[in-house]
Amino acid sequence: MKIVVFIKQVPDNTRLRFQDGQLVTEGIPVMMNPFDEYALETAIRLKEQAGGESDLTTISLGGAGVKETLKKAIAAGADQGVLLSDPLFEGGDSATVATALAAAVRKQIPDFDVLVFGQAALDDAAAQVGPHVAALLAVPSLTFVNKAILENGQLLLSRETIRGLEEWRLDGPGALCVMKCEYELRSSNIKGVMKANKADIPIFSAADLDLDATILKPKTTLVKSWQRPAKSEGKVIDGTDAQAAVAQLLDYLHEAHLV
Amino acid sequence: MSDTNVIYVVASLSGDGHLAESAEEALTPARQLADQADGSLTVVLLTDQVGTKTAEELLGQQGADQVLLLPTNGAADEAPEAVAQALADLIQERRPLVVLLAGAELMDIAPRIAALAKAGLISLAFALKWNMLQQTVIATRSCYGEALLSQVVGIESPLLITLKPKAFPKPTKIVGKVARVETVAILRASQPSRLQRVAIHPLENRGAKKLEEADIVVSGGRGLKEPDNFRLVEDLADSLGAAVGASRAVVDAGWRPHNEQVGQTGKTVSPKLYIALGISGALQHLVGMNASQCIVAINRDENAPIFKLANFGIVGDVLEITPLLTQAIIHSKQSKG
Repeated sequence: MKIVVFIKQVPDNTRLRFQDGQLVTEGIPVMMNPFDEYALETAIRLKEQAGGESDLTTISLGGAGVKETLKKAIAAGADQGVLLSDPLFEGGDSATVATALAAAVRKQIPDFDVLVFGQAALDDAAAQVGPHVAALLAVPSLTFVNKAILENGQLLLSRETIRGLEEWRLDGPGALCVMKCEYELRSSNIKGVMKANKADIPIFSAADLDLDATILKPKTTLVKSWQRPAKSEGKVIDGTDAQAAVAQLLDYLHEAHLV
Repeated sequence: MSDTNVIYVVASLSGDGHLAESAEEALTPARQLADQADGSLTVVLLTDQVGTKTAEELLGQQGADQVLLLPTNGAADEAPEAVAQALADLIQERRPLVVLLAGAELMDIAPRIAALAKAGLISLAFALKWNMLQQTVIATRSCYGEALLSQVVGIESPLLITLKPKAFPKPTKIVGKVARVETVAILRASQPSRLQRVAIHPLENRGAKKLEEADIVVSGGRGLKEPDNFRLVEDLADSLGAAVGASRAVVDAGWRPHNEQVGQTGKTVSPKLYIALGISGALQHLVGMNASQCIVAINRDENAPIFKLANFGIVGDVLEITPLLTQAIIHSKQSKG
């Protein structure tokens, strides 16, 4: 079974800094996107269930620093990593990224069985890339997956939607977008870390993937961004006298027409 | 009204034949954009059941100039790929200026439609405005866990935009307005998808409403001390007709199911009122609810970060205060009749 898991390195969004209302991008600690950790663990589990000749490739897009995150994925259980890096990818939108990722899959793993994505990235929170790559590679995709099990060569998938808990069956190549699962990403053992340290992670440019500026041209563009304005100072009262506090809260809710 | 600058809203019907709530929310900004751009509003209705007459009146009153009925033969639920292909074909053929999509199912397939139609896509906009000078729609959205707001535009049309739930009000009815109705039958007979739904189990969440759609959310955290005390959260939610949420800590501890988790690896909610009970406010939680219109927090620790975000906070014993609040709400509703 050939599995591909897509990893994004994102700023740790509990440690963001702003200056004059603008996000400071330099010097913010980075991490593997949290949903991608679940995607990676799901992919490793599928590989283990498939056994035999199965193979897990991890792909990321970004600067050279992203190699560290790919190495973390290899240490946890991926067999090899690929990094896509090119000025043409920078400043692109989700369509640009999806085009590059799909081209990398076509080049490296054309006979893939399953593509595993995180449901959304913490930074741009667009939830676009997974289904977009699936469409470009002409395979079906399922979002909000929280469990994937291999059974008789088919994937049994669970997801939660507003309709309830759904079970789906995937027979043939397809893509999953994974959200939080019942399991966390395993920690890597010494063997894994040694494998990751020795791993040679190739870097593909746009030209390596036969992509040019025309096909990578973004379809949307950022006009401006700014820090969410702080809320006006709220009111915090002492609740030692619970009855009195509840009365005040109820008045507040009535005045604001919230109840 | 001209044939250029056509704004599309893709809509589906809820089980009881009404327009889905999310679709109604999309109609308000769509009508505004159509008016500002001196264009028109077309609703693409994914349906199997609505007759022309119903569509004329139902959607006309909601502001639509035109309705395109897209019969789905049950595919909307079962084969999202076929629906995405049909919508992409329609968008490529008729080239509207903007296509607004709302509701979980459409948001799900929006990237696929965008890929197939070679159109741009802006996700989860909460404000839209028409830029007369550049003849383009400017969408505002949030990222970095709601910390950063950004304005995004499409470089060319058609442009797809998905809408953040609850960001837009429902449209005011226009009495007597009737929409032109056309049936477009372009759903390609495709092979059965390799991806099939085999079962669906309704959720057993307490709280009548789903988290993402609720006007009021009542969430509980570690401060409740033990799982049994979550009944206080449920009771307050019941009294308010609210949905129940939970912090990551109590989900990870197994007190509550993951589908109730609000935060970074759970759900993002932006209700009118969010009540946090015994939640200290780790950043991972705050990013899932800080766009709520009004935040009420009850917590024992006066230094809890949640109070920095709260519009109204009570420093006190959540186990003592919550049942009193529930009683007071029930009482005030009864006295209002």
